[in-house]
Formats: sequence, C-alpha cells, structure tokens
Amino acid sequence: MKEGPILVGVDGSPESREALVWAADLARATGASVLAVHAVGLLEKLGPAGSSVPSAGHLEEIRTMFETSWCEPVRNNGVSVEMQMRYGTPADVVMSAAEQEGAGVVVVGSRGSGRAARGGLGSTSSRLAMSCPVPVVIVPGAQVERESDPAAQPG
Amino acid sequence: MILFGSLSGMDRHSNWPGHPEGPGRLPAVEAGIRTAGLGDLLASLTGRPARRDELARVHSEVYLDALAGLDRAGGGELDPDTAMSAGSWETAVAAAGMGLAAVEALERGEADSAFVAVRPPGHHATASQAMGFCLLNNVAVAAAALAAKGQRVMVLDWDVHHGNGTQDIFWDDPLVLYVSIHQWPAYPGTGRAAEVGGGAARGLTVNVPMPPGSTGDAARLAMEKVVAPAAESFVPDWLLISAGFDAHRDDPMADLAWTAGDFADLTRDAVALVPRAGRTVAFLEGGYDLGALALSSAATVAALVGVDYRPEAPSSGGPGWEAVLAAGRIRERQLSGAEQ
Repeated sequence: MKEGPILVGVDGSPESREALVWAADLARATGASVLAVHAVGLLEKLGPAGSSVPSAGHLEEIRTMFETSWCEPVRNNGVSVEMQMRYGTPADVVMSAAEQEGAGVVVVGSRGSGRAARGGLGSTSSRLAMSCPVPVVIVPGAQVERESDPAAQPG
Repeated sequence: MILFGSLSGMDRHSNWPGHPEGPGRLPAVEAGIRTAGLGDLLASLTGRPARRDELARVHSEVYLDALAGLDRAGGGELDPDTAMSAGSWETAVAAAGMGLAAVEALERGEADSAFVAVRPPGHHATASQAMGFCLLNNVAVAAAALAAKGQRVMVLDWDVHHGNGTQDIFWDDPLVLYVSIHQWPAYPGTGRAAEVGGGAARGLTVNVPMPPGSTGDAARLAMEKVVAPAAESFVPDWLLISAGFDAHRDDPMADLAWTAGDFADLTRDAVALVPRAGRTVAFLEGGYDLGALALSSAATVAALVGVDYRPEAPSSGGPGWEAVLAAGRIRERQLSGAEQ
C-alpha cells in the first residue's frame, strides 16, 4: 500500500461504520492514519428528513454527529484520525479528497444511506471503483447486518 | 413583450414527497407573475421536446440512455439529493426543449426576451452525472445549440449554488462565457475565483464567490467590477441567465440575503450586457421558498420587459464587497500567471 492516510467515506450508515472498523484495523496494522470524510449535499442545509423548514444550525448538528457517533470506531481507539466535511456528491468528495490529501487507499461501505437503488447510473462505491485515482476497498459486512435486522425490513 | 414558457401543466417529475424541489414551484412562479399584473406583457411560449442530438451536444449517450432507462424502471435515486420518478425523463426533455424553443422564437423576432419556468433545474448536471436536483443541463443545451451555429453565448448564473455542471461543460469552449455569482463555501464546493476556464477558453469562466449574509449591493458591485468587464471583452450575441432564486433571504437552502428588488436590479444590469435586443433567455434554476420564488421571478420577468416591479426593496449593508474585489484580484493574478 502506498504511503498516505486511509481515507474513509462516512455518512452515518451501518455500512460506513463497518468501513471505519475495517479501516481502523488496517491503520493499527500499518501505522497509517485515518482520514474520515463526509460529503455535504444540498439537502443537509435543511432540517431532518428533508423538511423544507430550515433548521438553524443543522449543519453543525451533522458535524457533531459526524465527529462523535459516526466516527466512534476510530475515535480514542489507538488510531490517528482526522475528520473533514466537504461539499459535493459522495463520490466526487472522496475522489477529490483522496487526490488532495495523498491517500494510500480509500475505504467505503458497500452501500450508503440512500433511499433506493440507482438503476444503471452507478452507486457511490461503483463510481469509486471505476474512477478513483487510488485503490478502493469496498467493505461488504454491513449488508449482511442490514438484511438480518428486522427493523430494516419493509412492512 | 416577453415570451413565457411554463411546464406547469405537464410536470411529472418528482424527487420524493416533501423534497424542496417539488411540483409546487412552477405554479408559484405563475402566481407571482399574475399578482404582479404582468399578464398583458406576456406571450405564451409553446415548447417542444429536446431532440436526442441536441441533448448529446452536452451529455454523453451512455448517460442519456441510463436516465431514460431509470425512468422506464419507475425511477430511483441518483444521488443523496436527487431522484427520478416515472415521468421525470419526459419532463426533463421538455424542460431542455423549452429553452431551445425560446431561442428559436427569439431568432424569429417574436419577442424581446423569454423566461422559461421549467423543472427539474439543470446547472449542476454535468455531461455524465445527475446531481443537486438536476438531470439535464437546460441552459447548457440551449447554449450549445447556439454555439454550434457559431453564436457567442454568455451564461450568467446567479443561483446561490455554483453551477458546476455548466462550468464543466463549457470549461474549454471559446464560444461560451460562463459567469457565476454564488455563495461560498457552499454546495457543490466548486466556484472559486481562481477557476477561470482552460484551453482556448482560459479567462471565459468567471466566478464571484460571496460570503454568507451577503446582500444585493455586493452582487451589483460584482456585476459592475467583474461581470461587465468580462462581457465587454467577450461581446456576447446571446445572454442566457441561470436564474435561481435561492439567494433570497427567505430561502432555506442557503445564507445569502437578497430580495426580490435585487433580482430586478440584477436583471436590468444583465440585459445591458448583450449588445443586441431580443437575445436574452432566463431559465429557472433553484428557489425553494415559494413566496420568495413568486416575488423574485415576477421581479425578474418585469425587469426583462422594462417594468419597474420591486415588491421588496433592494438590500444592502451585508458583507461581500471585499469578496468581490478579492475575486477580481485573484482572477487577474491567475490569468497573468498563466501568461508568464
């Protein structure tokens, strides 16, 4: 693996948590640091659930969640970690951060917090696999967890 | 006389229930124009679907096929902000076509300007990626059609978010001048003053990033100090406005503090940038507070026909003047550095 931080795409989903756990193990084994990145989209300016009622400070709420609960697997865990929030779509944010920060590897969950499949237009992980300038690891573990979670089942 | 084209009657696009870029936006624009008493100055513009070859000037064939296929499958999510429903493709193709129809009508001399009230918006859509509520880049499709005929096109984008898609599509096109005034930092993270275009079009991308809280006086200063000189140097045949209204102080999606009166002033100043009359088309982009959208779009339409309609006074007193002057300096430094 080339030198540089292990960049992890984080969106608060169980899958991104699995990616962070995997990245933390790799960081401890290699001595590399972890760079956790969250992509801020258009709707995150609004309140929870996409409400069109503005929620003052909602971005700060997201920052707090990102820097605490979302990144819990790599915080205070013997791993050197930096956390960044950047504007843009998840794939673009991860790729630009990887390039600018000289990441050695990118780690993402197999599926983000999105609402539905994206047809033939490519998920974040598939876009990264095709276009990211550094090696990409897609961690599948949380997919199993989601499928076995009764609360995640429709109906 | 102004041509007004609206997709309100055939809008079948939905992201998901409760999404701010929703089907109530076009009726809000129409209500604003009615309330302003501008009806007698409007001529209805009949649209048409954009043809595949017209879309393919700015979007990849693979991307167009994928969008159409997702529509046939009933829709789905494209990014965390953007989705399609069944019917989104037809609506998006009609939105792009409405802009083309506006250009064609003005070429025939049917009016002095046009306003196309369409959704989904377009300026974030790149050649191969939907994002930021946008599927097809409506203003880019029209600009590319004109550029294909050798026309020089200025795209002025005052949506509060930077039009990364339009900038990217015309980055090295010497026939298109792309100018954006937007909040920064904000989504999508592009639009720094140092982004000036490339190749044969170096200098033909102009970005004026504004700080949160910025008021209309700073935008007018940007028009005077940065935008007007770029237009005077470029000498456009056409002015296409990416008219987003989410820089309004009431809009929930960003933090600028413009008013409907500011949009009237910006429109007046913008129209003066194109030497020939009858060569201005405004395209609806963002704008998510329906009341602000109604007032601001009506003020813009009024200004396009030379009517002074300012339901809210122009704003002033916020930050942004230093940002405008800095943008000019950064831009000059970037361009002079490239020439050394």
